[in-house]
Amino acid sequence: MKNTILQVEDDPNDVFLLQYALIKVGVNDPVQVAGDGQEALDYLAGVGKFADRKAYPLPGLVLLDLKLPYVMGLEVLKWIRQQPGTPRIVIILSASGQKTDIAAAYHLGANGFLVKPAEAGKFQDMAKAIKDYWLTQNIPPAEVAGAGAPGGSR
Amino acid sequence: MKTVLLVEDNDDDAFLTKLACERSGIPHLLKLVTDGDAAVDYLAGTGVYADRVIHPLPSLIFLDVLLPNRSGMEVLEWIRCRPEFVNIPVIMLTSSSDPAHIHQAYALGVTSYLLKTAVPQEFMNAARIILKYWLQLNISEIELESSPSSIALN
Repeated sequence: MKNTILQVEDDPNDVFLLQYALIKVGVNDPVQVAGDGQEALDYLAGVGKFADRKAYPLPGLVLLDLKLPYVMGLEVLKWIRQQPGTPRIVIILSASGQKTDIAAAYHLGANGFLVKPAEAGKFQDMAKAIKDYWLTQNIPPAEVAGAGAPGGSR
Repeated sequence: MKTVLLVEDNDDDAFLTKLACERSGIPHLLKLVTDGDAAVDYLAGTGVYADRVIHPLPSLIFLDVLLPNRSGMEVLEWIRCRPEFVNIPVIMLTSSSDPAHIHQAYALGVTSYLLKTAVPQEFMNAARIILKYWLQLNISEIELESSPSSIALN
């Protein structure tokens, strides 16, 4: 079964570069985009149009930028970790890699922290790291039945 | 050089993991402890592990689930209660694909969950990807090692 990836990113260039890089390294999983922190919260909570989980499935992997309009990335991470039910894998994709951000991200329970490359051509290296490690080696948390996914077979 | 702490009681598994890590081509120092209590002593720097030059704090921890004395889950819980270790990735490396173990590990704040493979060649390939990701691509250092006194301040 394909696992939805939620990319939380306000910069359209970075959205494009990462999606292109993911396709180039052979990631077939559908990528959904939330363009700001509030939209990410709405998506994950299933608010408004995001209530349709067929169109907007809960993601197995969240790729989270830190500097976001309305609600900052660390706030989104904090909210995710406060939710009951299935834990989500959250990888921070930051432009800066500031020490305070790194410490705060791990304190709030980020699974990983990658620095976005300055050059467009390097996005494929990051996409490959995500594919090889998080989408291939890592065993993700299983969806808990009843957490928005009707009719679990387990 | 970055230190990797392997917590593994099974001799064969420890041997295979060490071999796979050595052959990964990713520079690191591998330290082995064979039960849960020893893992806690190592991290706390108590008893025979008091000398941090010989027993440096790890940049990565591989933790088995089933261990003598303290279980892997108990060690994980102990680590995640200590803010000074918040940035150390803790990876469950286990042969258990029991969904209850996977869920419990994530609920306790494991960074990632990996399955041991019985096929040596597959494990060699996996070790390279795993060590490359955690020791070279992912950012988890918040430079505690440059000021050892900051550990005590937490």
